[in-house]
Amino acid sequence: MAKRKKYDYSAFLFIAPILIGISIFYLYAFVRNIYLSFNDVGVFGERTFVGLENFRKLMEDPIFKRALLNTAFYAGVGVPLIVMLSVCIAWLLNQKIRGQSFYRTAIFIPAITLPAAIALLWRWLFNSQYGLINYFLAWFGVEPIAWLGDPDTVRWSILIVLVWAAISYMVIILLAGLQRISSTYYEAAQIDGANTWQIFFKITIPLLTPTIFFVTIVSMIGMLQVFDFIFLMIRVDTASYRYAVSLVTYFFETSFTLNQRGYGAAVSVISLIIIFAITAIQFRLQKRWVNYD
Amino acid sequence: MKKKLFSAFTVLALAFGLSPAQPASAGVQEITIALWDEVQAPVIQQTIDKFNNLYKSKYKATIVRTPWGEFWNKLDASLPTTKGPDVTWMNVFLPKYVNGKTLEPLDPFIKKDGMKLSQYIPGRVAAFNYGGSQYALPKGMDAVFVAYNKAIFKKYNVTLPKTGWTWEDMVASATQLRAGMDAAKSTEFPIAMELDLQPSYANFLHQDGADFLSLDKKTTLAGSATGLGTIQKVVDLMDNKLMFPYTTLSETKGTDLFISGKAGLVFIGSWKAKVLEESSLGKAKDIGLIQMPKGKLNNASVAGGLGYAMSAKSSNKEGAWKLIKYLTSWGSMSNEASNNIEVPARADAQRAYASSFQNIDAKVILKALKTASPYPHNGLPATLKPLQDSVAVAFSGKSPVSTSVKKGAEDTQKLLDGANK
Repeated sequence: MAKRKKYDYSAFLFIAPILIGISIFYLYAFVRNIYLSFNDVGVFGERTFVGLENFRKLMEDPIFKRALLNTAFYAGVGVPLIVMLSVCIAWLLNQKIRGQSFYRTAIFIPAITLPAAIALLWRWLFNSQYGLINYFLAWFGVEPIAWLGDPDTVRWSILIVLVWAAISYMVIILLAGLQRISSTYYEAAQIDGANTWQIFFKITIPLLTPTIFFVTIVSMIGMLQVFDFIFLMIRVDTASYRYAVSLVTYFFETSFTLNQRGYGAAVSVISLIIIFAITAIQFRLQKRWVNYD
Repeated sequence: MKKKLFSAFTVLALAFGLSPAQPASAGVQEITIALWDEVQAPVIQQTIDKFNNLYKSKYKATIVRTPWGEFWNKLDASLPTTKGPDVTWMNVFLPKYVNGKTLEPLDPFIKKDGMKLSQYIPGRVAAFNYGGSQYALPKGMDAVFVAYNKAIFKKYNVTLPKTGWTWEDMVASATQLRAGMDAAKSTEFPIAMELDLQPSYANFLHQDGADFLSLDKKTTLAGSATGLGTIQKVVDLMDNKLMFPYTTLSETKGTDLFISGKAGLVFIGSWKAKVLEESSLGKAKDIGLIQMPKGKLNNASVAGGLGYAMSAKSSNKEGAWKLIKYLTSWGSMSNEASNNIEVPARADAQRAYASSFQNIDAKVILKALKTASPYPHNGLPATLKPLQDSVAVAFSGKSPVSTSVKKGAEDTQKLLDGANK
């Protein structure tokens, strides 16, 4: 009879510290947050069970509706922009050009810069009185634009920063994906007489779809969770904040500024459901356009 | 197998065995004090150093400074625990912390020491008395006034503001400045304003008799015909280019616009007095101060102020009390006054405040305090948010005052009624 292999339990002891941390700060917090969404929770933890009352109030809350719309805007416009620009820049960086190392290093700088530093930088670039953007636009006779102070332009200003910051990391991922594509495909295409654009659209893009899919998923989740740039660049008590607020910034505002923690938990639960649903749809649809080896 | 288990246990022991370092010297009790202001912190540190020297074998106090934006979140999380500060700055949010049972009543300490609270300004003592108990000793007081740029008034040949001026006088001066600025194709504006409640429309509403929040904290009159008219006055200033557009004020603080020489005058709080004193405009002696222009009823500003409170979870309440007493003593407050950081909440220490300024006339601030009204806040930001948001939307021009502010005031009144049941 073959000897049964003894199960080695020591591995669990090695991963126990990280598992315990994840259990406390993620799993327990996740479950507790859902529980709190059914309660009216005060700033110091005092609770009263209210059932679905928080969710009912959310459906009538104009600020929540505005946050939903804004988040849909950031995701709906931001993700295609990030994917398209990242693919183009990664493809350019994959060509044999002079200064390739410099460009690859330069494009990665936003990925290693703290969000707070990025927010501070762009806040001053966008400033209507002292910002460099308006300074250069004035050369062309353009009147100063209140990029962050004007409710009509604030969402676009935030979108510019979000896309600028996200592209950096996605380009690196796509560059790695491009370099995985075997050169034999390109050689065969060239022998068949394909030009640069035909090679790009018929060879490069189809073979890059698994990486593009990953970039789309990560960008979508990032856009649906946008918080730091809005929070750091716009004053919370201004009208333009209301036109830029996202689901997560509204969660922060209700939970920690207005001390309505149960209501804030309800916002985060709705946000979770939306992210989960969109991600599930994306995974479902991948069969139609993602080409795996 | 045994080797693997031994390695695993070693890893676990390392992961969980790390512990914070022990205090440097046994017997000396640590006291922490939480505050936010980077301008005041170095001056308060001078007092802390003297306190530590006086009690060197018994107590060691340390400042824990958290920027304003994160201060209250951190305090909310830490105060109910034993890891929070022993002493903390406190303001109009006092009711929230008292109702959460996170602050220690100071009455037993006051009684034991035979301390006379009459040494402090009575209004400031009352501000920290809640439900019949004293929860903080007052530290300072602040008021709102107008700072004007003498150089800009001179440049456009406009008479400087005079004591006793009215809102209409201000509009007339601003109109003259606007004409001059337009002729010179300047990017300056006559008036700048901070968008925070205390240095802006809370004053105008009170001066017109339509308080943002009544003294009993139960009613708002901002939605009344008078209140709507007051907010409309501010919108008119922006629409007529007499004040910076709301979009600009949303991005750049009114104070920054003023000290960079872009505004003729600014409504400003006394917590910015040191900024004015040390600015290039101040050093050039181009800053004049004057009390607020008179509204329909008066020119009273709203006045707030800070106090020192003790955590109910402090493990060193005796030391915390000694620190609070030391920080609110005549010597400590006189030092703060002579360093321009705040008007002391003790009349006997206020003289040093006005004379400590070389570049601005701080006596105006003391005069403003004599007629000031308490800052209108009930410590429950969620109840006031609809009204504040509606005023912001009205200032931005996205909705008319009559619609936006009226609805915001109604929503706030409903929340106030619910909170006061």
